[in-house]
Amino acid sequence: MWPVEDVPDGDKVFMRVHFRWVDGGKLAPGCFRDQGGGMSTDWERYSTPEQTQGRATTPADNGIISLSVGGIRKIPNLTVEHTPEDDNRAHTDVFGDKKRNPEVRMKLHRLANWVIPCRTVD
Amino acid sequence: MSRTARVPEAYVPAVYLQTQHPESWIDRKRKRPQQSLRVPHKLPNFGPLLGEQAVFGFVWTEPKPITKAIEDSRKILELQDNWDDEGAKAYKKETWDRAVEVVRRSCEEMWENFVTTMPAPRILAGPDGTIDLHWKTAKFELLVNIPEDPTDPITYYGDDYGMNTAKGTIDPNRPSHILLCWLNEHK
Repeated sequence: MWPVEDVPDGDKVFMRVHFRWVDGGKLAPGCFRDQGGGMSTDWERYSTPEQTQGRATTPADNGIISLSVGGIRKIPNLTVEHTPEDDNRAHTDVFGDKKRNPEVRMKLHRLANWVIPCRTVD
Repeated sequence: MSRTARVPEAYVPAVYLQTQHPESWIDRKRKRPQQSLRVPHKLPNFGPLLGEQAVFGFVWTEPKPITKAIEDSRKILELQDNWDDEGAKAYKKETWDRAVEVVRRSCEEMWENFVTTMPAPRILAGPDGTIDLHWKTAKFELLVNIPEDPTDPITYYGDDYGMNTAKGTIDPNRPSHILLCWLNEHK
């Protein structure tokens, strides 16, 4: 069991994005969604973008974006919490409603930067 | 001469020209007389140029970018459950239909109220079976979410990258004049 740590504002988290969330070469804001309570990301302290991509069911179908932790925390009602898993010390959740809150998803969309671009639709 | 016979094809939405005889659109308008006979208060006097049909609001044409955005978005309906390998839901045809209706109605209302067109949104897969309408221009960004449950309100947020913001909910059965005014002001 890994200890829970504070994630500094100056750090980044990585998130997988499946290629079907990219439309016309642009990221769809719908990719920012909760899965089992929070939005799953990996803290850069314990994961590389390649490792985050490698945890996908089909890594080649996924690109990786980075998000600034301080930027996320400036978005109303969002929190960033380190939630390590036995096989993934980097696991970090972004908590706060995204489905019914377009403001949150639009601002996350603005924060996102591609680290490993997605493949395009065949 | 009947009004039907006088409507030139140029004034019929392109989507109807592609699939149906132009009269189909006119029939649709007749079934919704409250829209077809409404005369926008700011409508320029096109009468001398276009004839009687202009006065009756037949000059409105669905812009091609709007039609293209709608047609492009049909691929959303092909997505099956777990289409992103992370549990994403499939999309119901009813949800997509409501999203398209919001786009078409907003476009028509923009013309009828402001005699102008609106930029085409991207019609996108949203979270958990919902559909997003996303406008992003140099002047503003707006995200509208169409819920899967038709009784839930539509939610939206937009800003001009500065201090002007718009945020709220829309009754799915009524046009949002606040949203239309905001779109018109910032387009």
